[in-house]
Amino acid sequence: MSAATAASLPARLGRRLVGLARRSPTMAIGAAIILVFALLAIFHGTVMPHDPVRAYPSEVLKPPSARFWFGTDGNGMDVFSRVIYGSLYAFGIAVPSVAIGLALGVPIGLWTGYKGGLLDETTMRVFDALRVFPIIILALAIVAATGQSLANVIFVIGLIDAPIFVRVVRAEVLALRSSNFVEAARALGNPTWRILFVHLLPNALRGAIAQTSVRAAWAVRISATLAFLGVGIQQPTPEWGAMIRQGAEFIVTGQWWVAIFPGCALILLVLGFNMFGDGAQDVLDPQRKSGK
Amino acid sequence: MTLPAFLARRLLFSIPLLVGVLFFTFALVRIGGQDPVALLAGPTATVQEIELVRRELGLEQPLATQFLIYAQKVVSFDLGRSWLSNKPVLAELVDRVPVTFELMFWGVLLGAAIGIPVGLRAALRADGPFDQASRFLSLLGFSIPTYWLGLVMLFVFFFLLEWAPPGMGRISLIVSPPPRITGSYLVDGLLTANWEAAHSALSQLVLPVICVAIVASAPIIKQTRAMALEVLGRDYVRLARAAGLPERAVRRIVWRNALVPVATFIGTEVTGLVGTASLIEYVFAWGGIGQYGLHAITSGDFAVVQGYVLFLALFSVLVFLLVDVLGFLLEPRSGASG
Amino acid sequence: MTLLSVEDLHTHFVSRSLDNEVRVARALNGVGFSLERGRILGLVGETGAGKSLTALSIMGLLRPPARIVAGRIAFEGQDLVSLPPERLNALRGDRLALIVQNPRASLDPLARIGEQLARAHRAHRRVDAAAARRRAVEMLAAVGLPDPERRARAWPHELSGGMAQRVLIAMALINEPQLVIADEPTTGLDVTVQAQILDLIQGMVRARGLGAIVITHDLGVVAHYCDDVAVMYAGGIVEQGATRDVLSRPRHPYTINLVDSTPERLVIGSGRVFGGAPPNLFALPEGCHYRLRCPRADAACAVPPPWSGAAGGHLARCHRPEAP
Repeated sequence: MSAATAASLPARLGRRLVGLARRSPTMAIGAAIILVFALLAIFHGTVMPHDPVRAYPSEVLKPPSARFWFGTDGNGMDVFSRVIYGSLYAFGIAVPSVAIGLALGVPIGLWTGYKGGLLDETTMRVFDALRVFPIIILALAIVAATGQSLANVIFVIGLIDAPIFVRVVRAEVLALRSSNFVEAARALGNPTWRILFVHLLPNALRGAIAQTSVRAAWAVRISATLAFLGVGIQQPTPEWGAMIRQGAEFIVTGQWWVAIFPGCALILLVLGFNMFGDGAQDVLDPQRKSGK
Repeated sequence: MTLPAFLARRLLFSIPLLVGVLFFTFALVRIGGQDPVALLAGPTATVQEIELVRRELGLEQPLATQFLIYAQKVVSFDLGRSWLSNKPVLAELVDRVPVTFELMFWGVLLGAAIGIPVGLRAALRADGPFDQASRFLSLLGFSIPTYWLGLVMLFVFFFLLEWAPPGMGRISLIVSPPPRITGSYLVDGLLTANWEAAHSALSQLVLPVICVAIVASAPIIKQTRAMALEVLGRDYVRLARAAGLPERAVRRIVWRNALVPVATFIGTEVTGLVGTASLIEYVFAWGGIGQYGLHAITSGDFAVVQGYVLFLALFSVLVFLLVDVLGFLLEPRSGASG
Repeated sequence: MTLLSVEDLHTHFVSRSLDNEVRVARALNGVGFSLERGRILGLVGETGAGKSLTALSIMGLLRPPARIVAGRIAFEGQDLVSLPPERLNALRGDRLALIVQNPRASLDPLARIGEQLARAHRAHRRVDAAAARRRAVEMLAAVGLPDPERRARAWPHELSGGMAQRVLIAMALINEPQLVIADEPTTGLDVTVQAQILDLIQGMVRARGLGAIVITHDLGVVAHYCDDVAVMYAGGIVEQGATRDVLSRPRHPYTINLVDSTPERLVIGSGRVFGGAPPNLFALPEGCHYRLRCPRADAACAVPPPWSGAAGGHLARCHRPEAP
């Protein structure tokens, strides 16, 4: 009996993955895109044909060729290698910042959702107040004001993500708070922290999966925007936003490759995260499939 | 509840919100741990100027007093002075508002004109090919960086096709702008029968407006589809079908009932779009508050940054209020109409 | 000609689980009954038995993932199942009408009552707006709403539950249908209002010689208002016949239990405790679908039970029904 179940686990997993992919091709494609970029980021050393910050002074602004697949930029650096390296930056910013957002947002969401009352009210009011600031400007202003370093960028993005996670988690907790299994847990004498972490957390996280992906998409976008404006990330860092910034000078005079390729990479990865999040929402919350 | 009563209640609830907004912008120049005076007075300030700013802001005083001083200034319309231009921030902002408004107005209008019908159609034939395509396009719209879109537009339509003028502001450099009546070159040109200026302003408007429209349409499509689907699942749609109403009439019921939530959504979207539009202003050198604010952020002109953020926040509060009032008026159940 | 004849109707919900397996909920399994003009049929059963679904299937109002997979619905001689959607839409609201549940939620919140009635009228008749409004007011009066002119200008949210239900009845009857289906017409209404509504429905049906199906879970309603009754369980009819026959001498174990456990309003019974787990439509048992709850079930019930009783009379689908 146990041999049979052990053998069927990978088969079951495979079936589950196929099932998920069928249910939401969007989610599957999104996952595939993210995976590809993640692999590029991890194995960038092997994939890059050139050193991303090595300048070839004689090859400035050359169009795509066999040697430089995406051409060279204003400093004579290989655009292709820089685009690959940029995925490392993208993940390097997205992953920690979303992690910060989760680390801050999930506990707060669990706590205020469960306790309710004045604490909950005030927290939500404060977050409502934050919603009046356009997010992009908010991020820009804070990064500009707190000194422009990569760590700051990550931290600010994480901070801005936190209220959104609080909301998502809180909504789940509110829905489950008066459900039977929580009542039962309470009746059995479980301490609050146990109820929060063992009973409510898994459900809450399930709801937060889709949002995590969307937040990652936003993290990649906003960090590129910051770099484009020259805030927080400076040239000649091979980050996609910074590359577009440089490319902006040249695109209107016809050297399109400097800005277009990083932009395409950016769009693809952000799209991947968005697709995954959109699909995950359909799959994990089917009642809302027809609603979103 | 009557309208004045509703308004009064809403305004009352806005007060803590406004205080919070003020506090945040107050904190903005102090959170970095840097000397706020240096940020506000700028790197070109002389020692006397720095002292002046220090005294004006009451920086030797406790934080609470500083906040009160700041609040008092804001209420009396003093948002400080830009060290770059040496002009008062509020005046510069107000000057540029019609410019941004022009861009936003046409952009959102076009975005809604595209987005709402697409969203409705997608909902009515949910999971069909049109729906799948529009959902993908909507996701794409969420993924394209606005500034990159602007650059690509310029590349394609200006450089490659030579249809559009260069993205250098609101009017061609060789045409003199019309006298300022509304602040919009297009409108002012038309009003003063300056056809050359009006034409130039119009041709400069096309690309930026299209960019804003594309960015605006993505959330509108998504939300319209969601709202329409929700309405389609409602009991009164089922009754309409049970009564044998033709599909045309059912569609009408759907979009009329979805319209109010969609309109309020667009209203709130606008507050976020102001931020996105600022990037388009930046790329096209549009000269509105967006470009002004971004320029200030990137050059460290913090008096302007503070004023800009405050201005946008207050604008959002106003928009939320208007949206609430609109929702109240249009909702028959609230007793305001009928 | 028989007004309505439902034959061997099967409606399924088809979906895919997360494990990519196809899951079929067999919500209606071979439902069959017929209805003549001038008679009221009560369709009764517990929640989930398939009563509303039968109504929706007849009206062609099923939404994916629900589909009719087999069967015939002959209305005035025409098979509704094979009718193209536009033709069916033309019949709906005209020749056959449905009075839906949740009256207050079923009215368009953005249109006045008179407007909605006129809309329903003009969908099937070529009349101008003024004539339609007159007809609307006429119907509001016919369903017993005082001051119908004023009511026609009212918004849905201004109506009480009872008034809204009357409006729905008006809407159903405005084009003088031949068949009216009332889906739980009294749910959510006060007891006094319930009686008024049912009296109204019965009165209009008798006066105009219509055929009607009343869907309810309340045997009291069936006893007082319906000529015939069909008892449903797990998507199938287990017993049907004239009301007085079925309710006074029930033959199927489920009906026996149902009759025994209703409040004193209907019958002075032994008050036996009733109930059990609802049937799992994804995995119905082989043979008789009731056997998991039936006190009389035995090995023979693993085979689908036959109909027992005189055709057109009091029928029960059971291996060991009570003697008639």
